[in-house]
Amino acid sequence: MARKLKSRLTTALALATGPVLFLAACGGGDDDSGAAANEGPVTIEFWGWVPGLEEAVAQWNEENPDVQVEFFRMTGDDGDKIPAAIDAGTAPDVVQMSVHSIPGHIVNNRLTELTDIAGDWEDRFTPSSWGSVVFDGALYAIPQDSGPTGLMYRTDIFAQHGVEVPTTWTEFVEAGRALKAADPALTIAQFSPNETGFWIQSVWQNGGSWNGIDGDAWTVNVADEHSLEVAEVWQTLLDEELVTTVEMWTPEYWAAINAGTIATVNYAAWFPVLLEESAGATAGNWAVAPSPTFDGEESAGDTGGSVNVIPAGTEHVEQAAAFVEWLNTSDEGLEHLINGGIFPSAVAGLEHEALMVEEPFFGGQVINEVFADAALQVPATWVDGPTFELTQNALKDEFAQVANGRKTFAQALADLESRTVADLTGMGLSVSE
Amino acid sequence: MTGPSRRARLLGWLFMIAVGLYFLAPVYWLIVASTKSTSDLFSTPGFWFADFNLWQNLVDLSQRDGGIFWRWMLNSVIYSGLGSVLMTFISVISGYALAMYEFRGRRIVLAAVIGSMLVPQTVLAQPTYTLLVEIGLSNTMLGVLLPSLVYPFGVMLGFVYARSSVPPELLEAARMDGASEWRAFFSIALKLLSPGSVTILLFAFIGSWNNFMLPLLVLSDPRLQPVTVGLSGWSQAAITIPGLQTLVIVGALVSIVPIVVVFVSLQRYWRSGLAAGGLKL
Amino acid sequence: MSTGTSVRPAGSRRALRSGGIRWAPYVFLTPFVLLFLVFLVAPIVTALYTSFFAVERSGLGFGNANESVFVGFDNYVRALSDSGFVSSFGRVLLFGVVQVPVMLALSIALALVFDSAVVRWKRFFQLSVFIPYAVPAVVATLLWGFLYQPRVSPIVELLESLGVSANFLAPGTVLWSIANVTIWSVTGVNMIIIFAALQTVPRDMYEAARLDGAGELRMALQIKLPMVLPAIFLTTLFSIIGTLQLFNEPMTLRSITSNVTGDYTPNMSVFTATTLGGNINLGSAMAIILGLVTFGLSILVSVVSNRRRGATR
Repeated sequence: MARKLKSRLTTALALATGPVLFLAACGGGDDDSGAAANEGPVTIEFWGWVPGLEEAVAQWNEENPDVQVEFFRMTGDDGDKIPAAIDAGTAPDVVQMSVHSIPGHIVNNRLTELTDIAGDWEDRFTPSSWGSVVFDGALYAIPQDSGPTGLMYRTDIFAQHGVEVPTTWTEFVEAGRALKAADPALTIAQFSPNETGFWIQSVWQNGGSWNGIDGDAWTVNVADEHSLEVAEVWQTLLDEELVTTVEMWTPEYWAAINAGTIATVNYAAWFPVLLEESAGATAGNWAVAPSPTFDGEESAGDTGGSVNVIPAGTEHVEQAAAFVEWLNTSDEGLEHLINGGIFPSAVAGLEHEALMVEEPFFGGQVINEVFADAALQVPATWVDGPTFELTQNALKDEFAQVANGRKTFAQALADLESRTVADLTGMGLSVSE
Repeated sequence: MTGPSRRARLLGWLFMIAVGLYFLAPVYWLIVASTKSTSDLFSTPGFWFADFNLWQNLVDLSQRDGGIFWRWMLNSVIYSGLGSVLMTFISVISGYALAMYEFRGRRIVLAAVIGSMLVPQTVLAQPTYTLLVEIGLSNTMLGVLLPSLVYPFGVMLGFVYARSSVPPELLEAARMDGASEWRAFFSIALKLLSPGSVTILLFAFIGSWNNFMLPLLVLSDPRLQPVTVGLSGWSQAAITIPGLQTLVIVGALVSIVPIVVVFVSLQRYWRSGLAAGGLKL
Repeated sequence: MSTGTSVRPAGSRRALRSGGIRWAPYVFLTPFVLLFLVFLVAPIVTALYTSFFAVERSGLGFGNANESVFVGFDNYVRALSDSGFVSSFGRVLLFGVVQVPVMLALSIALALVFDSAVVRWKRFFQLSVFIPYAVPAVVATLLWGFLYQPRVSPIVELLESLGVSANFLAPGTVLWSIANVTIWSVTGVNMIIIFAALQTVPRDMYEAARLDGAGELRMALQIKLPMVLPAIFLTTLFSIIGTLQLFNEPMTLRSITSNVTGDYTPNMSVFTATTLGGNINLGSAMAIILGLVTFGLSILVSVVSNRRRGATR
């Protein structure tokens, strides 16, 4: 370390002597790129955030002396550094990222296309998770975890007021009315402008997708009939004050959950752990049912999960892919992921014994049975566009206006649609009507 | 000498009590919250204690990710400690040069110092990162330390203090005695400038302790991060990782301690020091 | 900017004769100037350069060469036609018009009280006022976030028990809630800067005034305050710059309330364009516009305050 610092200090000092040396130093490049690839063990760098990845990496390293993985834990804003790191050539070889940010990276040529290496892994993953990593026939990422939805509900509250657990969205609204009539302080759910996942999952469940590919152009379907159906349900819930407006993840939200004034959370498979941690006092009063459906046919939504990508310019693509394959599809890899608290995208993971455990917080229910069924029911329709992060960001602003009564959901979606089209054309991309 | 009137004292006290409440209430909340479990945090009154969980929280804080929190604290102390001493030295020597000499380019440097205080951090962040990558300093401690040494505000202060507390006649006399410029600075000026330096040191220390944007961008290895970046990362990850919320709160409380220590230990120096500096006017 | 006296730089003709004196200032300034060129000037030049380019794309954008082409002022035009970006300047100016005077008045009042003999326990109170500055902006905002939110905030609870319904996070009030966080955070530093300046005022000036029968208040306003005008000017300037660059507080509060939009302040627009939109070129143009506005405003403040000072003399 000291020597490395010293040599870098020299480089920095060389800068001082003038612009000529400065340019020379720039052209020098990184020192460890010179080592021959086939000599000795290869070291690949992996950035991820799932708890317990350290143990997974340790096991891999023990079993694979030739491919040593170095793991860095990402927190918070770390994902924001990935573009700069890839562009500067200092990116790791494997990165965990949100599935929603893939297309934005593809149009900037930041990802290695994996069609030739992993194109035939399709059967190993749930259809919906595979559907969102393939763009125009090309594979760019390997699914890691997903967020299939289930309806977490307060058994005590439903029993106390004699209300049936809803199975369709129409019943959901009815149940909301019944609960409100029984106790005016009670709402069946909450509306959170800051959590776009609630919307994505419902539109996805309804067979929609906000972006798509039509030949050589992107499509934008933010305000199509799939979304408008969701909007109708939520407009009713909001207008009749069957939901309370509270931002998700905030202390206020958890206080409301703890106080028992919110009866259900229709959300992703990775949410129960958080519920347990932040609302310990309500233990034993929860259960999970399948999400309400739109037309009575079994289907579930998904909030979108994370994937593993191999950044462009990586030297050891094959070794990196081998590690990614092991982590996300092998029995050992999946066990580490599941123990880390995530819900795997691999089909083998859905049946994994580590997943099927009784949860005391949910009264001893094996809740992942519900989520595993849901994972296979999620329609394989959803595709993200290159400006999806902007769309998500704008959605928060639009929904804040809905919460303040300045717009309806339908108006907000229409405005979001035009903003998304403008963002795409602003990047120089084609958008088909 | 007659003191202030009784009415003035009373008003002063009322004002100070209001001020104390305003500035300390959130800190008090932080202390109370540090003693709570995640569940109690969201379900018990904010200004009063629930089950006393502080020790457990501190243990959790120390054990999370192999005790990385203490590593962050150490990093912060290194960045701010070493950084602020270097920043202060550079500021004082530069301010001294600008104040005591007439030379070609002096006005340009002065204008650049003032102008650079107006540059938004956001302009600099991305290009600075690219630059550090090119010279091989990304993801190193030096990569955080070197850019933070550019401290125009410190140079400004150094300039102001040198002008007000180093009499040119004294330097002239030293030169007559055959002292070199170098010696004149180190043996005469530096002593006179030491009270002002303490102020610069305090600002530099706290400034670099709160430094956020640059380390966030430059460091990918969490083991090199300062505590501000680490804690804010945790606070964002708290959304999806159970139990982090309380650790962020306890961590925030612990991370204030060094600043308080530095402030209190410099407070005496800096008050009497500045007063002494003022007498020389 | 100096505290009253005007000491002339010791650059006499005699001094220039000696070689040591000629070279000394350059040697002394070398470390600073080098660091300044590498870590400040070079990045600014890069940002400026970047702002005149755009990435060329077509169709789906897959497999394009993604070459940057010179586009002149296109990015600037786009930034200035983004109504969210432009109106965010209005928002931070409104913020500054209220926050800066309130914060400075509080800082000056505190500095004057600490400089007088009115209160005891000065060191304790000084520390109390200063501690918030030690709390990183992100944590400070989280902390106040707890105190702003209904259901968890003891303050909201207290107000409600008094019959006042307060919503600190409504569209109309959230700007002032942010202002409160910044006032809480930075009053301490500004107080210290002004207090330090007050400490350099010769004590015998007070004695003379006291003999004339001046009370504490009159002394503070008529004698002390004019002496520290340069320090007040300095803190005003920094506060204005800080206001325009507002970022961490609103950004953190956005996770608690969507009433803080993604383009709430100019810096947040830059962040949105660069980080979420992946458009460094547009982001650079926005950042440079922000820099120019900051620069212009600072010049304006300097000119106005100079004229004022000139007039009173």
